[in-house]
Amino acid sequence: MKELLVLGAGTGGSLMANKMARMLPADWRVTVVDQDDKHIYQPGLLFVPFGDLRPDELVRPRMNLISSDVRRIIQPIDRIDPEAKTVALGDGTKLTWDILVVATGAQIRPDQTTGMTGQFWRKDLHEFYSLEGSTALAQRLERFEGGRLVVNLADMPIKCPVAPLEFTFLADAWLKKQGLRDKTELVFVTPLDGAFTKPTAARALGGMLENRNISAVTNFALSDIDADRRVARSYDGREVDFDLMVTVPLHGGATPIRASGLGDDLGFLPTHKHTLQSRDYPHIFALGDATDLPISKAGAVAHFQGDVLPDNILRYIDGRPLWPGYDGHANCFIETGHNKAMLIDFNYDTEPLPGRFPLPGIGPFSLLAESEINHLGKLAFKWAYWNVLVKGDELPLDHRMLMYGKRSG
Amino acid sequence: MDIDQIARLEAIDKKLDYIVERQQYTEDFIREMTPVGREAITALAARLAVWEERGLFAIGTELLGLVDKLADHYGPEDVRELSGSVVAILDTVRNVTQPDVLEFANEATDVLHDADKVKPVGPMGAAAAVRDVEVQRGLGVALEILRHLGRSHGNGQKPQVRRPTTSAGDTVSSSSKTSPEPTKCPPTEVVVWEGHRFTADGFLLDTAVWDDALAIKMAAGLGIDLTDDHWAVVRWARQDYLTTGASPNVRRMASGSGVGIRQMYALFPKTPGKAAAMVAGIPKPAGCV
Repeated sequence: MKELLVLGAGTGGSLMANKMARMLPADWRVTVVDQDDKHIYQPGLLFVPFGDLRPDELVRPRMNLISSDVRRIIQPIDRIDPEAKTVALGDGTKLTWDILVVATGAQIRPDQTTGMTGQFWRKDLHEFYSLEGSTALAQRLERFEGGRLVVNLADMPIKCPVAPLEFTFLADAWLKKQGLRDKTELVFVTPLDGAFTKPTAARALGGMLENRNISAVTNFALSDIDADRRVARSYDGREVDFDLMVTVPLHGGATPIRASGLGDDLGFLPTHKHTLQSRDYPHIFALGDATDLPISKAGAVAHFQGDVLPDNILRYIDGRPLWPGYDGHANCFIETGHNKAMLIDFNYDTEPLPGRFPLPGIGPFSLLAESEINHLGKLAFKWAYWNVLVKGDELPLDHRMLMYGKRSG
Repeated sequence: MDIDQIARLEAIDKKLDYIVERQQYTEDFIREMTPVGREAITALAARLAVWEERGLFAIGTELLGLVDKLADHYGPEDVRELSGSVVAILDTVRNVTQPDVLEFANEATDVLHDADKVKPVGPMGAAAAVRDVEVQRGLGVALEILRHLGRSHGNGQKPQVRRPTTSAGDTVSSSSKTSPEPTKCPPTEVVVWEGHRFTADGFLLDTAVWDDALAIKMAAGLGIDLTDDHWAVVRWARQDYLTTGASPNVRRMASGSGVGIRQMYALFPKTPGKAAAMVAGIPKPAGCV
């Protein structure tokens, strides 16, 4: 019996385990390991701070989402040995494998920024990338009475790179609804050279911050949080003070990847851009947030990669050349407040462009423009996520990014 | 229980699993979609209310009445015939609505408007009027139209209709060009400097044409004199881009090249990540929008 071992049962790991259980020859077994049985619907975390979703609505038991044909193990992953082809688990057991699929995702590392986890942490300094974080922030916002609200991302790469911007837009809408907007100064602080960094998006959306009276601080690479004052400092010595700060901490790869020395300096697995094979070990493959690929860390990416990777694993088993089929396709909804959202669709080579998606002229979704339909699409997606996407079933979307319906500028 | 029965029970068990899963799928769908549907209907109602306020529905009703009248007077055959000559009709409308023609029509209606004030003209009056240059020019045009009419009806030839160059016939022939390549990249704004192509904000487009001499020129443009430390960062960042496909951020450049993050700010003031990437001839570190 040969063994395909999937590390991680999030978006990418679950859909891969389910797909491979159906596709592999009879002499293969699929095993999936995760440290806990709580699968979080991460796109929903954005809505928790504003009371639009309850934390318990976002969690389902991981292993129920995976086919009973897959061996499912709940244990922390301790160490991966790529040469001996073993994985040591927290309880001391050792799994052997023939092919390894790394889907261990990315995690926030607030401890990596000096002073971040100090006296203000989870009090006046928050994050919304975890259940605890977004829940704590919801409680803090309930008591918010106005002041200087700073939204920041520490450094790229982060999961869902537009989330800080979405949070800012949603905060603006929420503050208006609460009658607090006049008493609040809303500031967006980014290490990049603007809220929008791609030419077409910058042209189309450049005014979105000004229109909402949100000020921006750019090229601000977060160095530390002052231990005594509510102040964030950049490496070039600039200071931003806050009454309430919502930050997206530095991201890194999962602990076992870093502990096993398989990752880059942030702990992301060096992965081939188009085939999704490890750049160091031919019998290791990866998808989703765990890779070092130059594309957004997002569920859509794991989904589109999941249309390429199973084929490449079968090719690898048969000794056929791998298929360079992944083009960096990603898309995501961007909530802009007041029940509207934008949609962007892009890949390694093509920046987000305006137009209609997926059908030219018809849509129903509008690219790089706000609409109610986009917002409804985002809400309706939750069902598709649990019932179709992580189950490894097909969605009626091409894994390649297509130019149909897009206008260049 | 014999083996056969156990096997059958197992098969039934699998089917039950499937039914339970499908039922969960549907239940989930109803639960998740009810609020979405509610919001969709509210949004749709708001949109329709705006249309109603603008009178679109009232106009629509009138238009339906118009179609009714058409149906009373014309049969499907007439409509089919009409749709066949739509292009000719549109061409005629376009020709007739050219500014000079419209101006003439306006002047003509003005004259008709004041027709009762115009005095009758006898043969003598006509002979006198012909001496007027404007009347002479008008007569010329009228005679040309008469000649055209006579030609088309005399020998059975249809009049040659002058069509603008971009008429429907032309577009059909030119639409045979290939459909757009689905993953082709649209052109971005390009600036040429020192014989090379750059993005509007100064980043080299083709990283392969980069060399030391170009790096020195670009650095000079930023007011930076390249030292060994600068080169260490630039070469490391470039190598990292070539392996990973992404420009490294400041933190990664600092640790990878070994110069440290504070030193990065000393070497490339203000925006070290951007400046080092620019000098290294690799793309600007960017987000996804």
